[in-house]
Amino acid sequence: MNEALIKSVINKAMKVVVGLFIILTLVSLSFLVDATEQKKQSSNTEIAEYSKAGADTCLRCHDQESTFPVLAIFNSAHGNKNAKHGPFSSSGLQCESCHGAAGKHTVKRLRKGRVRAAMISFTDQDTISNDEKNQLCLSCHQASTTRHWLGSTHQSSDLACTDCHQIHVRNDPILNSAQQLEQCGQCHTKEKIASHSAFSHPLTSGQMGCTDCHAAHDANNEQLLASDSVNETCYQCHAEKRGPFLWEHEPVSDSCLNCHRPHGSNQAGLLTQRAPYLCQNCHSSDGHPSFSSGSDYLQGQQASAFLLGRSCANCHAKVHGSNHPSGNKLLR
Amino acid sequence: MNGVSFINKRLIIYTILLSCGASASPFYASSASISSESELSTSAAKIDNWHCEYCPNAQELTGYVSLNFSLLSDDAYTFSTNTGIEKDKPVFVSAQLMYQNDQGQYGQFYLDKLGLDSLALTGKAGLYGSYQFTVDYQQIPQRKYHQLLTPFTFNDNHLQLPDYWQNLDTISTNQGLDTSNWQQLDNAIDWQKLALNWRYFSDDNFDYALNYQQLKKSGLQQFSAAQLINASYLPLPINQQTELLDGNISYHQDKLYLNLGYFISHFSNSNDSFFYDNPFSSYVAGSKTGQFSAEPENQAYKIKLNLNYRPRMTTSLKLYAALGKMEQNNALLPYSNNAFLAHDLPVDDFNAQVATKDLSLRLYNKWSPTFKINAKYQYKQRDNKSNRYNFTPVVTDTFIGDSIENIPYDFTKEKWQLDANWRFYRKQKASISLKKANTTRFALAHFKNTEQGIVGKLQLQDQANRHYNIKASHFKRDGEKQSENHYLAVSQNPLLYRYNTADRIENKANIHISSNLSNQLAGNINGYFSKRRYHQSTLGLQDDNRYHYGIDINWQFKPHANFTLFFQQEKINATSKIGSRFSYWTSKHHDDIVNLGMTLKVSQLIDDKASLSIEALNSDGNSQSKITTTSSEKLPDIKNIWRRLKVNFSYQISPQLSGELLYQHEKLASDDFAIDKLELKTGDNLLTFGALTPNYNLNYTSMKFTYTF
Repeated sequence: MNEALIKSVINKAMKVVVGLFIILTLVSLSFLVDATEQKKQSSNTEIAEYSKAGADTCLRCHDQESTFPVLAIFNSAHGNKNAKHGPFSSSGLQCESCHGAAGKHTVKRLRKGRVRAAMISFTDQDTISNDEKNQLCLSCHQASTTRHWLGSTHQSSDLACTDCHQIHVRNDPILNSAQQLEQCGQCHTKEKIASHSAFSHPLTSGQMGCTDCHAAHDANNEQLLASDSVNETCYQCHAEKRGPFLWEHEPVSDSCLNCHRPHGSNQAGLLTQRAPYLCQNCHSSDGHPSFSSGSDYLQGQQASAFLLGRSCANCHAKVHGSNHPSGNKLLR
Repeated sequence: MNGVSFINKRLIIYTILLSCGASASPFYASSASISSESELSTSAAKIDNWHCEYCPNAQELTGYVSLNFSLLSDDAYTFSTNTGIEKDKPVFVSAQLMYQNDQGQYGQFYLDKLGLDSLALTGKAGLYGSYQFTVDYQQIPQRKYHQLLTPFTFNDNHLQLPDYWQNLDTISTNQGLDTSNWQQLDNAIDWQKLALNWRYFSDDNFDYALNYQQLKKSGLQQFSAAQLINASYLPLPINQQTELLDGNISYHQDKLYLNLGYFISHFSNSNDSFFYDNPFSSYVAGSKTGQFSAEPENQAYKIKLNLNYRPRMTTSLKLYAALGKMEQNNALLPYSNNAFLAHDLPVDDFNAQVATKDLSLRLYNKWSPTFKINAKYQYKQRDNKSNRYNFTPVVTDTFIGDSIENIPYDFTKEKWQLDANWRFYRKQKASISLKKANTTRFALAHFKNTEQGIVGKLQLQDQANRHYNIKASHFKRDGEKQSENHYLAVSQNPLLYRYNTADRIENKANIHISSNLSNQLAGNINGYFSKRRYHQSTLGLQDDNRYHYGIDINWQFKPHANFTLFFQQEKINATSKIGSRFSYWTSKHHDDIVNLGMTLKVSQLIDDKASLSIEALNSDGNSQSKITTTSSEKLPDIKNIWRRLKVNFSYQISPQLSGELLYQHEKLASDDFAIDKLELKTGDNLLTFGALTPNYNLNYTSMKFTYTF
């Protein structure tokens, strides 16, 4: 064994050891340290009391005429008396399930100059953190996707459930794909700009929504994709590109993003660049792929086929892969 | 690899610091003062006395029916892309029916654009908290170009030229083409998407979900095929279908969530190949008709396991593992249907099989009310198990080429990530992420890439309630070529120096500031910057720089009046180096997209019965390409302008009946030299559909009456 190989083996072994050390340390410490329990032990807190009449207490003031109309909730799962485990079911805490115990908020008369005690309003005015607000939602929404919220990208960005979801409505707008671009675009401005480009997926028309490709609550990839990879997400609708082909085009099998901008582009086909220049990012070293197709080619009779129309794809039409035994150059 | 040690050293130091920090719990000391969890500490509620007498009963049956009459000023073909709005379809209907009772049963039915090609139908029914069934059907018309001009007719898998056809290369340049007998075809593909979804939540902690999706695409696609240097555009009829079935069973307890899923997808194509007549003189005898392959029928399967163990609300350990397979086994076409060039294939069908593996392990822990960590490991493998054969292709039905082996493409990707989030004051937060990724690709060359970097985020809020989000990252990617395919010399292998494997340094920064300037006025400013510099990349992309910035303002100038304004600009600059080893030239590209828009919404006008909304949007996209050879050459700019003005006035005629008047002006102006300069016979060697335009400039008016019940 030569020295380089020995170093390589040692280096790899070190990486494994370091990796295991980190994981074991984090796991063991995670189970030792529990923020909630620590707080419970030490907090010297005032206990808030629930209201005497539940929602009837709240609805005396908060109705459809108030600044924030609330009654539409009774046309939704959250307000239905027979929704299993719902806030208004027989075991539910009604409004206080989410807004917390009313405490002194329900005092009938306030002394002059006094401000009514606050409850959790799911706004910026709240004194509790978004994590704590989200725990109120997660205490019921345990199943399926929301279960994975802890540790997700959006949780790390300190989003509250109510940043995207509306509760006091019959149908939550974010669940309608036509509304998603506007809502998500408030933070994801780059993607929203792209969707207004000349070429884009049908996002602005509402036939596609952000959730057709992305799992907002969590996913096992950085872009929060609904499938395990970019390509697998695209194959949901573009399965004809899946193959596997006899002659694969490596960048295509690698990632659709090598050539496409999925949120929108100024180039037809959502391409990142115009052909032939896009193709020449890789195919540029020799022969006709290395020709400089400039403005003079627009006048030429012979060479313009390299530049106009489908450019390289005028001949190499099977850019996504070919299944023809003579298709190694993606011509068939 | 210095970079590797760069991360590892810091990881070790960081971990030790974390360990020390956790043991000593320094964050806890500050948490008590920061935390407001006291507000969540509650007494027991006496819900027996909660009768909910003021709670309104659910409206059992509600809904609406609306009738739309529309008038389109122009027969703008591409305007109906997605919208389905066409001049000869002036009436369409929308309706909604919603049912809900106090027992928790509900049903919803939604119908939109009945009468147009963009029909949407949604149905939903269930029992809250128990089960739900949904049906979703959608038509999405894709209208590319109107009236393609072509001499081809489609007959039983064969794109045929007319009997009188004179080969294009025998027609002089100055001689016009006689197109009187050519046909005009619309380049449109209609998508039809049907989705069925069923979910059931049992009382024994099991959830079941079943999703089915069927997607049909039919219409006419632009295609092209070549015989050596002569190419022709072909109107290709397509009829494809994709079916997906995704089943999931989940089990959850207080601390454990377990999900087992199975996914199957099948793609079918009504044609596996097409013949086409070459409109040029053939180079060899017997090659008048060529054959090309269509997308092969294929399947994909995946079994998935999701495990989430959550010992408490502050800790989560997630495991995801998936095994997948993609396959197709279509019979191979002959090398050529030219009998003079016929020879034996090494195999009759290509049994392509790709196995995929996905694994991820993630740990989240909120160590204290102010400190959180995230650790992630991801593994992804594409293992192409397809057989390798030596093929001897017939190049474009003209000559027998060199023998070549199909080389399956494989990759393995691994990622590590460690995040630490620290809330150092009640609404002030900082986070840091360390990331590392290893990617190994194997095909024409065996490449290994290592990318590592750091991401920092800052979320601040000042006393004036202004929010500042700042994010910056730095990444470095090193490439290492481990081997290359024996028959490819370095200079001929385009994959060795390509941009997605070349050494690269990437810097990104992002800032977002939002502020409530007053009770009525709110504003946002955002900016983004990304710079990628490719090192040791002899050919291909050298620089890729992107910027965008924007501002938007929301002004509620009266209780029922709101005005918004937004401006956004994105710039993309990319430089590529192209050429042989001895002579390089560069191409520079510049994309500039500007969006400017406003909306005005006023409600409760005319005795609180009317509302008005005005929306204007201008999207201006400009692409420039400039190349440098012996002298600089600049190609004509590609300009895309999309403008829309929409004025909507609605009036409540009676409690049940409302009317709405819509005026919309929309313009699409696309100026693209690559399309505009096309002629039916471009050069001496390209038969096209001619110069086509997607442009329109139209006025659309509609009147809608809605009856609500």
